[in-house]
Amino acid sequence: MASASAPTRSEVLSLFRSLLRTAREFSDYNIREYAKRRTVDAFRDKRSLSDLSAVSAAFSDGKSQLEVARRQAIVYQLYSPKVKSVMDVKPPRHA
Amino acid sequence: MAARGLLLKHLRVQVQAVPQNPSSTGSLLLSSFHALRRRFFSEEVRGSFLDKSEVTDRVISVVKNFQKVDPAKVTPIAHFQNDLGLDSLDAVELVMALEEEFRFEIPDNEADKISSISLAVDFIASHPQAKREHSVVIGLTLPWLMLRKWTDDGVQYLRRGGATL
Repeated sequence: MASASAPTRSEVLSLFRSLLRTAREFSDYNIREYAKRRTVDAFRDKRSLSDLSAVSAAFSDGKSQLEVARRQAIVYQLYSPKVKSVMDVKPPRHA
Repeated sequence: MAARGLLLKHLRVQVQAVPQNPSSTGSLLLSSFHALRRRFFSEEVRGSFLDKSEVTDRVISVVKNFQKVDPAKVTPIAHFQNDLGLDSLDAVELVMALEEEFRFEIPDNEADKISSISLAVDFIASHPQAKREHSVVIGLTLPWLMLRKWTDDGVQYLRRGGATL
């Protein structure tokens, strides 16, 4: 592992936010929701890590996943489904 | 060669200058329309501030819909961590949900500071890019698009010289 120092709290929250922002860019409902769910679950799962090397390992894994997600968001935009998912059609809120 | 020249001369389209302002009343009407268009357009780009009570209602409904929040505990001054029992990850998710509701992006350093409903309301109400609800937007935009279409049609009609204003 290249980075020995543990990430700060704000760095972790920033990574979390960046992953969620990237997840929003997927045009396909299923992939978008999967990316969101996967991000939230992973951060919850690793919440109680206290070992310094484990924390920085998880952080750098998250950063590489962010790169993957950014790349895939662009690729999926090129091949986005022509029909919206039924889950994307919002019912009228006050009806 | 001579025949070709003759042919070309025959095919030449007669061009006449079209009067730009058919009449004084027409131009007055048009200029006021254009002023109106510019006004609406600048309004659209600049954005406008939302009413604070509207912002409060929408923020509260977003927070209530957040799955980890007990809707009974939500008040206009509730603190995310102390009153609603959310952790920092939940707070990030909640701010992202607010971004989606108001359709604008909250920069990271501002998002970190939002830790209660009242702070969220203050920030959103003071931000010019925060958007109205979709239904309101459609209600405002549709007549505006129709007006613009009619204006364009009118302009085209006058340009063609078909007006008898």
